[in-house]
Amino acid sequence: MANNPDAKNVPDDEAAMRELRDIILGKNRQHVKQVLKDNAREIVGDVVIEAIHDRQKLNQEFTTVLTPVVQQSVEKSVKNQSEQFVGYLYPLVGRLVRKSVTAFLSEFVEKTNEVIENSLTFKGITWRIKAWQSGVSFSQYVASQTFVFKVEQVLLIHRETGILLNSVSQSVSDSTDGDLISAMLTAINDFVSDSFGSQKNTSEQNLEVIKTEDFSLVIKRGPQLLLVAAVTGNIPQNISTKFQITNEYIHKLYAKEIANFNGDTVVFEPAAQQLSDCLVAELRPEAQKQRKPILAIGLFTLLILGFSFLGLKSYQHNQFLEQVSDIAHQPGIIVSNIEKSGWQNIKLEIMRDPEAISVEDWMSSQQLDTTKISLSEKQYLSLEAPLVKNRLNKLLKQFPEVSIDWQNEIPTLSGVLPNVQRLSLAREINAIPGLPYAEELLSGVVTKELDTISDDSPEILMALFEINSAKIDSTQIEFAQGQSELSNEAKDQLLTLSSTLKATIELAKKLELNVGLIIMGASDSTGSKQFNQALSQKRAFAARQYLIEQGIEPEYLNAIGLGVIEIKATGAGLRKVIFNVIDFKNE
Amino acid sequence: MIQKKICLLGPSGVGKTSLVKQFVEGIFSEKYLTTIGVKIDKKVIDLTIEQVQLMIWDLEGIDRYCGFQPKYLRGASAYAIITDQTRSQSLVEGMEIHRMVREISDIPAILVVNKSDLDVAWHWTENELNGYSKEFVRSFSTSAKTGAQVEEMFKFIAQLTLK
Repeated sequence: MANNPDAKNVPDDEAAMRELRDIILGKNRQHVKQVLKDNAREIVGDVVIEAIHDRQKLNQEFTTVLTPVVQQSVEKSVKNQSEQFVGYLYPLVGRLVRKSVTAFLSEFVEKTNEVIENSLTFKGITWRIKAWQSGVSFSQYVASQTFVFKVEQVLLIHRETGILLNSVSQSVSDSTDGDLISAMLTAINDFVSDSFGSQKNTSEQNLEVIKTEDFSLVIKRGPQLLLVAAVTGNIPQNISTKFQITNEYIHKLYAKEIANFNGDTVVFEPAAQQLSDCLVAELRPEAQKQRKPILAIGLFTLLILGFSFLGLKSYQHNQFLEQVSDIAHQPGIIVSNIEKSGWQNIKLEIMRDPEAISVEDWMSSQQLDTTKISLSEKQYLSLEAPLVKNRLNKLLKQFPEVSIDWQNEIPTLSGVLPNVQRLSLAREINAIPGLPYAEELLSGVVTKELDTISDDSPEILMALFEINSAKIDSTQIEFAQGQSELSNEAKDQLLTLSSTLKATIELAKKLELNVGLIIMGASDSTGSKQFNQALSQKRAFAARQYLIEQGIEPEYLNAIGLGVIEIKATGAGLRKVIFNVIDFKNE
Repeated sequence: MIQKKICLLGPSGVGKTSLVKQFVEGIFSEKYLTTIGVKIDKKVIDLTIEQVQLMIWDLEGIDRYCGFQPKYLRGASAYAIITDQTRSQSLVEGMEIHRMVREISDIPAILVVNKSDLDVAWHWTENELNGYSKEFVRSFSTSAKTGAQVEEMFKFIAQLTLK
């Protein structure tokens, strides 16, 4: 065949080649396939790691495909071998909890900062007003001001049916009714493409962006799927492209699922991962800068100042209360209630002995402000030693003749007092509560006799005058029968009487009284009437004469004879001279 | 959960919107019906085997002055032609709409004769009606006012979409 090469031979050659190939490789390359099949394990095993690595490096598809598989495996594993997993995880949980608490705290602090920054800066307040004016929620307004753009929500929609296959959003609350919105969006798109599509142009008109003042729906169209992103702010081209790429990628990844779509959206759940990649945002440059929340700082400072002021006030109030409470240490004062009232005043209820220091005096002595006290006071008697001492000292001021000496709080009195005054002093001392031993105290006080009294108070003079008068009036001298001679005994009596009478006359002078002594003689019934009359007179005169002899001036003496005193009894009892002091005021 | 799109079509005034009004959960106002010619509501139907979420596209009443937007039918799993037993014309128009739909789609359809609470006032005989019904999987006689057969009708559609 090689020697006669011509055109006719060419098909033969090819047929021969095919034959040869079939012989070597086997029918339909059976031999090679068989060899490969036999050694598949080794061949793939040699390169599998490298292949995965290369593919992963090329694009991230491997991870994407593997993730749901791994997730499912782990889920199954955990379900079936939960005991072991508990064992594995147990030592980690503590650390995990601590870490998450730390994370929570730092997030909380960050959020608080954010709130302060957004709420308590001038800008924050301005934004709040503007948000209110434009009728959007504050958070939306903040987002629109803070972000160059922010993808709030991404929807994946089946184009033909308008059914929502999956959706992801920044916050849970935004994702409501995505299915109705998806369907309506499809309808609106149909409406628009039908209404504005040109009749001649067969290509369909489609919505690409629906835009409001600060919100836009970016619609990326694939052959079967729509990817719709709800975006605040102005979206840059590269992000728009990213949506398109994501949509294409999902088409590629879920080609089979899309082709067999029967309304069951479960198969598209893993697509959430790709959709989440589209939830991007970019901060405004100025928002990234740390703003100083001047207003917050001011407010904070004010708060601190306010609290310090209140604290200081409260401290002062407490101090004042404590100082005032010290009044309880004063003798004769019992604090029954003390409490703060108002910002700086104090309500004070006490029981006070009249002898104790007054609250005002005490406060002045402590240099405390008396105007801040509302005082209610009740009186009581205190037995405390200092007050007893006060009372005794005060009492003794009325008795200048008595001196007092304190030793170890025990008083000793000394001095000379007339008996009457001594008695009254004793009475007063007894009246002092807590001093029951008046007599012991008074043992050092000597009684002074009345006759040398220099005290010429009329009461005392009068008393003395009356005592003397009584003494004189009770004197009787007796005589023998029929006699008018004075016996010795009678003379003694008259001697005493004369001295008493002298004192009485002196007292009467001081009292400015006129005084006189009536000397009455009497006799018994023995003998004649005339005789007896004369005898009685003689007896009276005898007594008078004797008194004159003792130095009594005669004009004070008036002697009369009473004669027989008509009393039933007779005998010595009636042979007498009796006396009576009469006094009368000067005319 | 399985989601299915269905469409309600019919002449004006047969009570399509009333049929879904008390039966569904919706967020869009009825003014959309006149604005873009469709209002969409959803309803989860609990069939014993599984749950189906029906996306009910309530299309604007179709009459001689106003055609219908065929694009709204895309992707629908079933549709219902709604007529009104008090107006003979409504069945004629309903059948016309049915034919128009058939030109672009072969999805299953049911016939709904609404206003069953009112007396029959059209001149179609039982036989004539049965003749028309043959073109549908099944026909229902409903009342949007009393709710008679409404739930059964939607449940049947839901089952239909799963076939």
